[in-house]
Amino acid sequence: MKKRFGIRKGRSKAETDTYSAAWNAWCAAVLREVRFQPDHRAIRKELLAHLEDGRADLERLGYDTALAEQRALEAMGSAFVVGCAMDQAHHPFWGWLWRLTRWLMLALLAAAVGITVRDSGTVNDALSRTAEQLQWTEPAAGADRVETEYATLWLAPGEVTEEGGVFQADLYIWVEMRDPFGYSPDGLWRYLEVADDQGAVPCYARQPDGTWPETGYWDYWERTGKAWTRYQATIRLTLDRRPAWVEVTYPYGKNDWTLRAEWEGAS
Amino acid sequence: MRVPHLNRKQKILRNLLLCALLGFCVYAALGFPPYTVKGMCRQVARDYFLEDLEPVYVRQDKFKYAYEGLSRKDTFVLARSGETYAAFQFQQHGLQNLRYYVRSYGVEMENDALCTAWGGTLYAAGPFADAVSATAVVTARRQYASLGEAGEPVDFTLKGEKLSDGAFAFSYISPEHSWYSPTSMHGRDPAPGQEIDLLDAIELWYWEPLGEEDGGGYSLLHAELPCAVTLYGADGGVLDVLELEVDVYELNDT
Repeated sequence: MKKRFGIRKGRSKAETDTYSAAWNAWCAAVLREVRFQPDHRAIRKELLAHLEDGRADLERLGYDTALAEQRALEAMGSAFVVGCAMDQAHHPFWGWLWRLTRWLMLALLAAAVGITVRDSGTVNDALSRTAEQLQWTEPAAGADRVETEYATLWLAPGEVTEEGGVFQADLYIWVEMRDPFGYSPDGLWRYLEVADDQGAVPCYARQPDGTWPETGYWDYWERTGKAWTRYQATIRLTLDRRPAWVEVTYPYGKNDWTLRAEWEGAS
Repeated sequence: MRVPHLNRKQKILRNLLLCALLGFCVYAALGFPPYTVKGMCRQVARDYFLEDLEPVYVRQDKFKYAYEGLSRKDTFVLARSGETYAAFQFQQHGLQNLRYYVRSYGVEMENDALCTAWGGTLYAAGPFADAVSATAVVTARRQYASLGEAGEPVDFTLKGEKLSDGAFAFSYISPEHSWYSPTSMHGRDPAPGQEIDLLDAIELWYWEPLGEEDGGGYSLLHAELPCAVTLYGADGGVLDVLELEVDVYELNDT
């Protein structure tokens, strides 16, 4: 009959010390065959529980305690055979692998808790990226579109306002990355090259004499914060004329694409 | 409902799945940080639309603040994608490894050749396979009216050390440099006969005083200094002269 080793109530060291020397010796002989040391305690507890059950059954049949203990031990069989079977059931490879996965899980849990408690900025950053990702607005219908190896980009014309002879023309740009494994293309915007129907328009920067330009430049700001794959920015041209169209290029790497935005009715 | 009892192998599988899930959550919460130079190049390539970004020079420095248990590791990379050269830095602390922002952007790029500075050294990246040696001449002067009259340009000639077929290094801080730089240096000229290095020039001419409305103090100017890199062949002849620029912020970030 196949013995089943279920979960039984454990006993304290003091209680196991009351077991007979024969029982303890038999258990020690079984455990000598079991190579996976960390399971020895549990195995010993299980074996003694079975021996106790056997003894109790025999005592109910009228055996005296000493005889019941002896007969219960004999019923367990050869310590060597039982030990070999236990060794197969508690193979050291699976035992150590199981322990390793437990330690790994605890280490990862500690890392997760550590990150959450000690560096709440990391978790906040992850949450805000998720929130920003969900604030994506679809590119405007008719926006110019280009596919690159890493992302899809769109460009659409926005509002043009004029005040005191200074025109401000907005362009909306969308970038959707193919995967979330980058950090953020937040430096990408400054490397764009912008030109309108009158020629190249420089990015807003302090001039060599220390002054800042009043017109004839473009600037940008991000409409959404750092997300996982989706980014939106506004490019604003400040010019002394109304632009008819604007082209945006990226002169680095192997990029040879151009995005174009035109305003209807512009001369 | 009775919870099924799992055998050891099933427990191992369950634990491994939980480890994978937890590991991914931790890695995602950290923003998928790259831990290798190859990974850093891949991240920058992805963010800046550069294909086949390959490192031409890598410098790694470890340091530790007294109040921190774990040390930090700075990784500075010069890389190339076709004709484009890029310079970027990462700083790792524990499990986090983030791009380091010297200015308001984390990657510097130029086509054909690039000049940048990191940790007190000036670097030039470009097609230098045929060059045996190089010199760099960086020109600095008081240039903004807000700091006084425009000064005469001063050239600082730096001797280069070849790091690889794609990179040269130039030291611009002299061994006699005084690291005590009180703000009283800002906006002044050097004392007669005083030898200054490029870092001294930045202290003197590139810190702009802020008004009371801005809280006083000084602000480092954004300026690109001309940097002419001359490449020499094995016979000592000039192979090429590259007219590049280097950012004051990078030179100041020692």
